[in-house]
Amino acid sequence: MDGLSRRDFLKLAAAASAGALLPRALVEAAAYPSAGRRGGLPNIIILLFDSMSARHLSLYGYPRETTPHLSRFAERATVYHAHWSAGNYTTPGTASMLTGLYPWTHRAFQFGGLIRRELEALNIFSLLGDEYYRYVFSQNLLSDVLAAQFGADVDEHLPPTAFSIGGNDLLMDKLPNDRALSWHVFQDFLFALSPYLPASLVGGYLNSVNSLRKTSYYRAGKVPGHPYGAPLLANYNISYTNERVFAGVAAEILRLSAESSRPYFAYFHLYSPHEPYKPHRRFTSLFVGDGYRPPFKPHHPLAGNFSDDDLLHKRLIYDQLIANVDAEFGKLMDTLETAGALENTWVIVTSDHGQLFERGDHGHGTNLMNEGVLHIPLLISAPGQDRRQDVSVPTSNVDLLPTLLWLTGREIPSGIEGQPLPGLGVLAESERLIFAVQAPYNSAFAPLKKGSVAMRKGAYKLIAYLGYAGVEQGFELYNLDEDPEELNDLFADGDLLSRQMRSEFLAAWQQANQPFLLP
Amino acid sequence: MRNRLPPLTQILPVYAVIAFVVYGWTIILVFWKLPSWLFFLHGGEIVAILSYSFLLNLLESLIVLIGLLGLCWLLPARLLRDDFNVRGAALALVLLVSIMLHLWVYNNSDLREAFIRSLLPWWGVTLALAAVLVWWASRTAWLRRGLLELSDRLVVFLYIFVPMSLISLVIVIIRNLT
Repeated sequence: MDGLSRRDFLKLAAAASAGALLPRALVEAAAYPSAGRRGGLPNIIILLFDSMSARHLSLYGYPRETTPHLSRFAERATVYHAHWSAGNYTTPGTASMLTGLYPWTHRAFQFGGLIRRELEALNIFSLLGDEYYRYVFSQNLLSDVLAAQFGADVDEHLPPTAFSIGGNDLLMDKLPNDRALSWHVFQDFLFALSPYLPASLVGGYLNSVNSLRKTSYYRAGKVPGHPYGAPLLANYNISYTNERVFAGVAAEILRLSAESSRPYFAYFHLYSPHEPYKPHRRFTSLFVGDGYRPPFKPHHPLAGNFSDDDLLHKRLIYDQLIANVDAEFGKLMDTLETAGALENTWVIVTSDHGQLFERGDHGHGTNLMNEGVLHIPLLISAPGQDRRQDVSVPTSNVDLLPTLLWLTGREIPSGIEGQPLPGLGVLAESERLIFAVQAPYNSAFAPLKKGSVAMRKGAYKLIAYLGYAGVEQGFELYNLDEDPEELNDLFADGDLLSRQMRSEFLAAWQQANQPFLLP
Repeated sequence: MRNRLPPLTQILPVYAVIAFVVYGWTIILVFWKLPSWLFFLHGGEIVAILSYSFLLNLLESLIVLIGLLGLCWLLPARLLRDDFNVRGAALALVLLVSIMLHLWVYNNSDLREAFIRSLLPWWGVTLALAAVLVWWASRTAWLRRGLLELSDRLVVFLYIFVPMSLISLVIVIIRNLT
């Protein structure tokens, strides 16, 4: 990891426009030479499925057949088998993907947090440049806020409600100058919905009545095909159906293909399979009574308090929802291919973070940094690719930005913490350190004191818990090649490997904090 | 039309009561939220949030006042316009406190459906209470005196809230014009 000193940081900000070159010593003979370097810029589509854990995809070996369509897509894609999100929930995970920086550098690690303002220029939209038509649609308001922060570099930004079926009326796209802030002003404060009190007494109350009344129908299981109610962005009370959202995405891609005079870069951040899990009726009988039980994992002291039975039930519906999303993805790809919209187009499928159903914990954004929440899918299909390629070396979602710059023949600013992904013309660096950071309890402007960090080096993974009550400094060490379920903690104070991993981690932690220490 | 509305000297204290509750609610929640904002927002961004908030407070307090004046205009004078200072203050307090309680009682995402179902009975009870209190306030010396003194003393806050909101208006306009 390259934690930034104050001087490095200034160089980094300058490099965003100056374009210092990444050393190209790592270049391998490209399996798929970049279209940028061939002369014609390719289109790029990122399809991000929120909270999709790679550990629940049959594509990656999950025993339940959740993703036959992704597996079909994988037959003509590069499949990354050890790909991590740099954060364990939307804000840090998405911010890292869009900036190529770890959360302890870009500092968007609080709920709704923003990228360090000085680093705003270092984002995928800006670095791809205006040769591209840059397009964003995010159903998730937290990543919509981040895209809004890069607003000057985005040509078209749909509102999160674009393909919803009803609910809260957001003001985010009504205040273009303050779009990044409007979530903090309205959705998170003045018009907050229960379980939070709206800070606007009359306006917030009327908004609660209006939006909750409108979605009452959708929540009650009365939407055809949705026995648990229509899928919902619960915090903001916006109902949608995946059929409608995916049809909207298909229409938008077809429109971009037909109308854009420039090559386009389209970032779609789709909410499913985020909780609350509300699969379509066609999927609600899947896996029921199949007898699958994941390996038992004892409750973690920093985890929530979910019973194993509850977790098993939630896992079942989550898996059904993944199958639902997978089927919609299959339809989307078929539509686009039939229409010829994917010619000269890179298609990237990924997630912002995973989802945990173990050790007494459920969801994401919790204190735990186990594989369920960090291991995310990454599939990259090059234009014209007709065979599958598998990459097993550990990679991170901070690598996506430099990869896209590399593929389109753009310069990679120095200081970017990711590096071009192996398998696309760049050699793998097997002993590279990769990090994932969870630090919502810290100020974005001060050294980190409390949080959970996972560090990957080759087969080994160190998890550090720092600053928690009762766990001032706790470590776990796993060999993911031999123990992918993280059942056997290898960390021991006297052990050489443990000491080495711990000291490498502490050096990185210290370096990350360096720019924020008082002189 | 002016004959059907109360005099300005009576409107102002009632507006002060409304503004005190509306702005006070927001300010309390600002203090609850501020530590979190300080963790990741810059000073200018926090000022922008406060500007939007106070501007909205100004609008919603004026809307409530206009609503009360509309009632004055519609209802027979003896029900609300006469002794508007007392009756209007009592009505505003009941309505705004009712909103607070409704939000508070159902402040749980599992109760969203219940919140919607409770709207009719809640507001039925609130309006009945309001009617009783408005009737009673004008006839009970200590309650009348209490409401008069309260509304009179709250007028001083308008000297803070109104300029603050006008500054907020300027900030919001500048942010959205540039």
